[in-house]
Amino acid sequence: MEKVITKQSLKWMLPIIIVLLVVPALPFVLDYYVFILSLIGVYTIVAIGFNIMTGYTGLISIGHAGFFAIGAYTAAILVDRGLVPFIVALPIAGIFTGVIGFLLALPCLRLFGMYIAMATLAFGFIVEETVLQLNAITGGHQGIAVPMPTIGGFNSGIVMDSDKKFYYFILAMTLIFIFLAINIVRTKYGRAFLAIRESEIAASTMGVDLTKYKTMSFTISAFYTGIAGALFGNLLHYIAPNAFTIFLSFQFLVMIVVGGFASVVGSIMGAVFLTALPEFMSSLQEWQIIVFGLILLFFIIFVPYGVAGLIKGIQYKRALKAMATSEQEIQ
Amino acid sequence: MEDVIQAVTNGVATGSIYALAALAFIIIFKSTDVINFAQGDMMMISAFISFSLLQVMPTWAAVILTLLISGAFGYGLERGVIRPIMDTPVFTIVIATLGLASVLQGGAGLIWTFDVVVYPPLFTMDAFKIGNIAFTPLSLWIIAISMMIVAALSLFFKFTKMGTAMRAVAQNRTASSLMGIGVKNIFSMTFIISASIGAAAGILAAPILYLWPAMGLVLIKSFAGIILGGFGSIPGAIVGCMIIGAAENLSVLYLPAQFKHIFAYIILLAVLVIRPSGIFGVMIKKV
Repeated sequence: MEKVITKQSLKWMLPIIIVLLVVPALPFVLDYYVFILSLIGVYTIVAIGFNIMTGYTGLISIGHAGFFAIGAYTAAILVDRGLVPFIVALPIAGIFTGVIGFLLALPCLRLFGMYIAMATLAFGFIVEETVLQLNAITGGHQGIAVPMPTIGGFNSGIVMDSDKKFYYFILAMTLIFIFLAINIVRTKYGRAFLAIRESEIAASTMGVDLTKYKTMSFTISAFYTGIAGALFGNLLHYIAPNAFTIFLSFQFLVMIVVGGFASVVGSIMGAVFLTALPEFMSSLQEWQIIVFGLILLFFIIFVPYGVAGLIKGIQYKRALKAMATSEQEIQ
Repeated sequence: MEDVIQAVTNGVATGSIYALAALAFIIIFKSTDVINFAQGDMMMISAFISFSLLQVMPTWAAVILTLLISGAFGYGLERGVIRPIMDTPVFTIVIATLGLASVLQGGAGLIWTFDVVVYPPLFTMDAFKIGNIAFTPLSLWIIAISMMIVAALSLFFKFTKMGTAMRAVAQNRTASSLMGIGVKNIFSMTFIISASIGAAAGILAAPILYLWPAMGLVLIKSFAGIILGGFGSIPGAIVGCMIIGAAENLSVLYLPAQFKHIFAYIILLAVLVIRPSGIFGVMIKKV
């Protein structure tokens, strides 16, 4: 197994992590910016989970808002009803969403590309509508307020009653999930996913168990999105069905197309993009749909591997140039 | 029993709308292999165009002009968006058409409105009764026009030179190109025909589905019908869409009313679980 954290990667990762740790703690940094950073963290987890399924394994999902909603509502309801405290509800939300993902994977196993897109699309609508109609549990279209997240009991332990406190929790979770994802995609699992994306027939000929790895990809992706959903609900303190429409699934898709398929770094960049664009466009709400669509079209046609692919391409060209010059020097 | 007959009658009328949208979708899929997720939104744009035209000219002129403009619009989309990515993997095409769908939705919202518009039906929606079953002229016209379009299309595919060329391209792009068929022209023609059918569907359906930018989402119900019938089969899709329409209306009789909205999606998932090849047993393996 390759080492995930090398000296070289530490060199640029450490300063970023230090900035992320120190700057938000400074008293003059507004809560608003900390909230934005938290949102980027949440979307990063979604993007990585989404990328594992769509970018790495090549299974298009247009229903990830459904997983996101399941995670958010599971965590919120468990805490709101006083069943378990937040720190227990969070993993339960993730696992429950993972199980739903596993169940959805079963019919999709026999299917090919576009069928999966349609199945996940239908799934997204079913979740949206179910949340809306299950008034008694979900509060219908009025939504539900999410209690303060705590580490420990219900109102004991560390109560994350400010955006800054919760930010550090989200930062820790994001880093953990990035680390986990790197471990998944750089080992045999990631290679199996990529092989399935390139050609299912070739992959199964080489001994990749399609059933196992496709189910796994679905389940991991749902788990990630569920965790992110739970964090999202607690970050916003309030969730309602109109936050989890098909447009959100679509935004998730734009996020990984812009960031870059099959790339963890790309997922992070996509998350930054998805958070930043609506902030810049807050006064132009009506233009959002068309701008998202145009950006998606532009990227899929002209920059199919996203920003991450672009950077990789530049690095590659630079390396080639360096090789060429060193060869000349030898001659 | 009368409830059931009434529900099925209403269902077949709704199903005909799904079937028309499905038809527009399948024609493109069959001859170009493109999964056009923007089909529903092209239909919505046509409905909006006809809405604007109806304000300034007589009905017949507005309808004909809408069909022509929509055909031209379909041609433009094919040349501008679809053709550059024609040879990329299905994955890319699906994502691109999703992007297109979003552009069309946003565009319609900006040009016209994001709200629901009351669309004047071309045929009256006042019900009349035969026995105890209520019919509305609009639904009967929708069924009749759908059937006429299907019949005209089958004749076109079977007996005209262009139709035969289209079937050839659908079977094998390379071979038909070698036989002297202008494959690119066939692609354009396919989009023009499909967009016009979508326009007809949009004009007929707008009073029932309500005219607004998200109207195109009806395509997902068509997907349910298409998959139920067997992907890629035109008769399958039409039967499938009718069944979806009837099932939706029947579900109200036996299940809580809330199920009506998601019943089609549940059927879609159920078919994929039980029999992905659908009633007519067609399964596209290549994509």
